[in-house]
Amino acid sequence: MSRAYRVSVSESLNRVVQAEDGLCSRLELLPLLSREELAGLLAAELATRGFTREGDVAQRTEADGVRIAIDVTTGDVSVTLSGEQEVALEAHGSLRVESRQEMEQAQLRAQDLARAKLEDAAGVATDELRQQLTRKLEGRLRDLKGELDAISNKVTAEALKVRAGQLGTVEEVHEDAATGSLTIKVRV
Amino acid sequence: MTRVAPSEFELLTLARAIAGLGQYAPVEDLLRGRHLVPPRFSPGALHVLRDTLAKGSMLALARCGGWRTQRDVRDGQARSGRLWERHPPPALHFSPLTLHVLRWLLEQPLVIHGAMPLDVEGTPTPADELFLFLCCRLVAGTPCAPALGAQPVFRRAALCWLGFPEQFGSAPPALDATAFAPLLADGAWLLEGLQLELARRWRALEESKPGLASPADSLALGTAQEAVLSTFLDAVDAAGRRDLAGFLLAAARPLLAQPASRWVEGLPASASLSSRADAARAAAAFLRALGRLARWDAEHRAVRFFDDGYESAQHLLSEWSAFGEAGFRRAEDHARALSTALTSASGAAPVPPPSTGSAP
Repeated sequence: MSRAYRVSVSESLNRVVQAEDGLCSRLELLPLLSREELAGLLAAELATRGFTREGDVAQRTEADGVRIAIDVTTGDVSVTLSGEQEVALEAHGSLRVESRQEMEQAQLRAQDLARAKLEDAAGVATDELRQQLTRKLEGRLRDLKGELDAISNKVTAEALKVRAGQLGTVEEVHEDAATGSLTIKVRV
Repeated sequence: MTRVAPSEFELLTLARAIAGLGQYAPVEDLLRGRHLVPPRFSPGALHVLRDTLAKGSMLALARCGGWRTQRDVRDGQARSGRLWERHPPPALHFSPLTLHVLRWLLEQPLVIHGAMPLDVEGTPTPADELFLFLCCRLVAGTPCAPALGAQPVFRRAALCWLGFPEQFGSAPPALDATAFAPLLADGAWLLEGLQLELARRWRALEESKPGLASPADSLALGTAQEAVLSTFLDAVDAAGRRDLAGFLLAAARPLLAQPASRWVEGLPASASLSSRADAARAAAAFLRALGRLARWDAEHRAVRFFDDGYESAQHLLSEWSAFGEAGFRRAEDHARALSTALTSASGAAPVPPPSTGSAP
């Protein structure tokens, strides 16, 4: 009568998992001026809101890690949030064999099994981290949309004033902060 | 009475279900199982098959919308009546491709992965295209549909892409505007006859989107829709047959009352924002395509009574008036809301204000 042997292997893994989520969008800017002029107005507005410029891209990283990057020439907006987390994982792999001679091979297979489980667990940890980031980013989107709309409106208003100045002499500018309406009287 | 062998009877039953707009359930066993088909058919069976295809396809065309009394303006001439009153009887020619497809449908179990591919050479005739379209119609939404969508003969058929873009998986169509040329020949009788059916199909496709729970599925469907509509609209525009795109407005009209967020409400909150944003943008493919019809509508308004094409422009303005500028505006609002990642991905797409003017 043969005896069954149980081979059990335990593996552990310490890893820093990383995840990122983000969105791309575009500022709706009316083509009232040349691309360069509009880019200048947008860059100036973004500077007042704490964006730092590197080449064509103005960016700002917030306290919670949300990074907003705006290409001032195209109006392309990218909002990203990345994070990392250290995880300590442990997994077991076990197999049954019928003879002692098979044990060495079984140990290797059990080790592979445990490592595969570890990789799966690392994948799950990465996905959980990504979901946390997604929820955090989602919570910020509404505010962010409001700010981006405000930037668009401000730049459009400034562009209108510049355009009006190019068309003739601006005699009167009336801005209603409550409704966002802008009235410009121009003598052509 | 014509006597046929049991295997011939199965093939004829399937042909009858396809051409006669039958239901999937009665022929499900024929499609799911493996059946022996004789290499040659008896003269009696061939006669019945020819009769089934000829009468069935005409009946299908009539039921798919040919029965409606329509008015169209072609080459400056207005025609009014049902499909068979507006066009001379078309010479339907089913090539051997149709028989190959029927044989393959019976021989291969369509629900088993790795069914033998359908290897048929040759360009389908318009009658073959109609038959392939009706095959897709029979299996639409069933486990057999992916097997058809994987076959090159279906993937090459422009009409199948136009009617069933969801059946072809994630690979976009390798079609260009010339693929629609045979369908636009001879007064485009086939496309005219299928207008009602195409409208039903596209409405059903859009209505299925809230049920899509996978961003990848939504992306695949939107990509296929965008590609096929872009090609189709190029083709009808080049052929001077913008009226053939009218089914899109008929499909869109009942949908626009719902908020834009409805298109993506099935996407799970656990999916990444980036994938949801891509899926939402793709979900707006159909609505974006309406933008092109809106531009055409504006062009038609600008055609003066002494310009060429005035009759045709007036006819289309009248046909599309039920959808109207308000409908186009609303479709654009929805498309913008879905494409603006900052709102669509977070499920916070704003409900556009009710359109003014003629209600879509």
